[in-house]
Formats: sequence, structure tokens, C-alpha cells
Amino acid sequence: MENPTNNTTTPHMPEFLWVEEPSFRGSSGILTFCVSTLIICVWSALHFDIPQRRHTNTERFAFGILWMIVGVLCPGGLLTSAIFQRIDASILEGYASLSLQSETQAKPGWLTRTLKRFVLKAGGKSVSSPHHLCNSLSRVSAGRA
Amino acid sequence: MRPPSENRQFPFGLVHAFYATMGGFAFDIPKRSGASKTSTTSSTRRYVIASQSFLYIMQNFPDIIPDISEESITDRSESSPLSKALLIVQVGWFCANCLARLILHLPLSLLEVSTAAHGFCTILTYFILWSKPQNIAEATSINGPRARQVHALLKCTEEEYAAALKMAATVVAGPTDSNDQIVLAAHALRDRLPGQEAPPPGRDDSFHIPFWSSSPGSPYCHLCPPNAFHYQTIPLVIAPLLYGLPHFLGWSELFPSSLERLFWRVSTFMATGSGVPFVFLVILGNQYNHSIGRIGLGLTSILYIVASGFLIGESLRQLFYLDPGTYQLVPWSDYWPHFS
Repeated sequence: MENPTNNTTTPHMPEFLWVEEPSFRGSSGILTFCVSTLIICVWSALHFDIPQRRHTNTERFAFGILWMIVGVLCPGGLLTSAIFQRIDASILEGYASLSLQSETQAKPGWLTRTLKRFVLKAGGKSVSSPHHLCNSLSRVSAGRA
Repeated sequence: MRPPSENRQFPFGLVHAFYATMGGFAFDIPKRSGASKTSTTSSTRRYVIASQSFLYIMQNFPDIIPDISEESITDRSESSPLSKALLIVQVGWFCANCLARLILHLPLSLLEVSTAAHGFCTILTYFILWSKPQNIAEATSINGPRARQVHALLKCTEEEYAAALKMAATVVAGPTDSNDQIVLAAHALRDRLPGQEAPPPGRDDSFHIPFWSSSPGSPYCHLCPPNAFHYQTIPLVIAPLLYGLPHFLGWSELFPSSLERLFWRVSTFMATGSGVPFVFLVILGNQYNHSIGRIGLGLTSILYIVASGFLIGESLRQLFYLDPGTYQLVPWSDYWPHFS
């Protein structure tokens, strides 16, 4: 039987070592890096309107996936839609400063003020304006509460 | 325009305006008594108020707009600081990595070029919609007798509106518990007299497309004046341009074949410049023939999507034929926290 005390081997002291990261990346690294960035970007850009009726989780997921695909294939469409909605919101905010007064009503931003001036100059929406294009009629859409 | 409403407690800012444009306010109108007896669902019907109608209400009946605080809207929003931080860190790392590769003259893969183009467009979209509440599930309800009257007015056809206006001018105030649309509309109009010159934006009950009912926005500007139509075409040119331009970074990359390189270049031009024929067709359709305009728009949209699809597909395919230099790492890039 081997006597452990006879073992004269000295334990190895670890050497001081600094190992550089590998200087190459792999195809899968490039793929996952780009796809994860793409998903995070498109998902963050999706700001859904309020649905006409309350959606189930499955419907929300399906809509999310659908619009993710649209966002990947047509990011320009998302950007255009965002610009139009921002213009609409600024016009509403501009008119609100005239119609809905509050003691703490903040002064609208420069974009809102510019758009409001532009719309008023262009003879835009006002009480005295005539009927507008048929497809811009009110979307008072029916849905169950 | 009507004189401003009584002082409100909470200011109506950009968040409120976005909330209104995204369908944040809705009428809850009781169903007719006959219908509610047989109905097994709720006794009210919901009508989401579109931007044009909301502007009309704001100008004529501001008293029925709920006085809600910005916090009551943003508290229901799903946007969180964590998701914003995640976006900033990931995109920051991606941009830093791409810039470092360009500075060090290391090649980029087409997938990185394509992701950069998407990232640029979507980040711009994100900042444009910064004040828009994210993914709110349900609208704020407007109800009560006054809401019923205004709702009836908004639903009027031109003939009904004329009848209501006539009735409003002659009828003395009476009970408003009637369900008759013209009577209700007349009551709404009564205190607007004299001076009511134009009807509400119009009636379009049937304009309910489920596909768009949960969309991230609208494909056109609702509140822009009709005679400023040409200005509306500017975003249609700029957006594809901003998406297409970064793809020129892949102009001289290594491609699996020369044909694919040619297709990449053609697709890049198509995606970048697709806004120009798009706008031309919109103007053509608007001025001459709506059906020609629509067909043209459909074709241009399909071409844009095909070009965009090719750019994505090709960038994935090129992953198997990369320049060896593409695999070389930027020395410091792994020290940035990120998802990969």
C-alpha cells in the first residue's frame, strides 16, 4: 500500500497568466448579434394604437408578431406612420392650447407651434371649414364595450 | 371657434394629444332598450373617437373631454425604463462596433449593414413617438347625456344634420331621454346656435378594418389640411431614403456571385428611391384617377417590399460567404455588456 507521506511531489503553484480573448468571432455570433439588435429595435419602435376591443393575450401576441414582420420588411412604413401621427398629435396639442385652457397649461413646443401656424395658414380644420375628403371622415367605429 | 372651456385642472399636452390620436377616448352609449333585453353582453356600445372627430369635439364641445392627468395615461403605458435602457445599451454597442470596424478598415457583413439600416429607422421612429403611450389596453370612456348628444351629432348623415339643425333652431328645450338620433343631435346643436356653420367631420360607421384596429399608427395624416396635401408626401420620400442609404455601405462587399451583387445594388436603389414614384402616383391618383393611383401605389409598395426582402435575404445568405476579415474582432468590443 502506498504511503501518502512518501509522495514527494510538490503541489503546483499556479503561474501568473493573462489570456487574451480570441481575436475572431464566429458566424453564429454575427447572426445572433444582428438578429437580437434587430428584434429589440423593431419591438421598441412599435407603439400600438388602442384596440377597438380588448384583445386576448394570444391576439396581442399574434398582432405583435405580425407587426414585427411588417417592421422588418418595411421599416420606412413605420417611420412614415410615426411622422404622420406626430404631426396629428402636434396639431391637436396646438388647438388644445386654444380650446382647453388650464391654469398650468404648458406652452406647446416649437414643432407644435409651427404646425399649428401652418395648418391655420393653410385654412385647415376649424369649425367653419366645409366637409373634407370622404376617407378622412370620422372613424367612429363600433365595437363592444 | 368656440370660446375656451372653463379652466381645467390638468393641462392637455403632447401625451394627451397622442392618446387622443391613438383612439384613447371613446363614447360608451347605452344600447337601445329592445336590443339590451336580448343582449347577453354589456349594455353599452363603445365608439372610439377618431382624430378628426376629437378635434371637432375639442373645438365645439370641450366640456365633454375628460380632464385627466398625464400620469393617469402614462401609468397605464407598458413602456418601462428597463426596456429603454436595454435598447440604448444594445444599439450603443452595435453602433460602436460598426464604427470601430469602419475606422479600423475591417469589413462589415451585409447582415450588419442591413441591421444598421433597420436600427437607424426604428430608433428614429422610437424618438418621434417618445411621448406616445405604449400599448395601452383600453380607452377612456366618455358617457352621460351630453356625450350621447354629441355622439348622435357625429353619427348624423348630411340630411340628418340638416334636420337636426332645423329642429335645434325651432324646438324649445325638452327632455333628452329620447333615443332618436335627430332629436339628440338637435339638443347638442341647440346651444351652439347661432353660428353653427359647418357640420361635424362626417359619418363613417362602417370604417372598421380589424387589421388596422391594432396598428402602430396610420398610413396617412388625418388632420393635415387638404390643400396642404403635397406636404404630406415629404415623409413618404424621406422615410425610404433614410432606410435605403445605409445599404450603400454594402456596395463593394464580397458577394457570393456577381449577379447577387447586381441585385443588391438594384434593390438598394429601389428601396432608397421608392418614395419618388410613390409620391408621383399619390399625386396622380389624387388629381386624376383614384383607381390608377391605388394600383400604382400597390405595385410600388410590392416592389419596395420585394427590394427590402431581397436585401434582408441576401444579407443572411452572405453570412456563408464572408470575407475572412469580417471574422476579426474589434479588440475592445467584448467588454461592452450586450445581448448576443
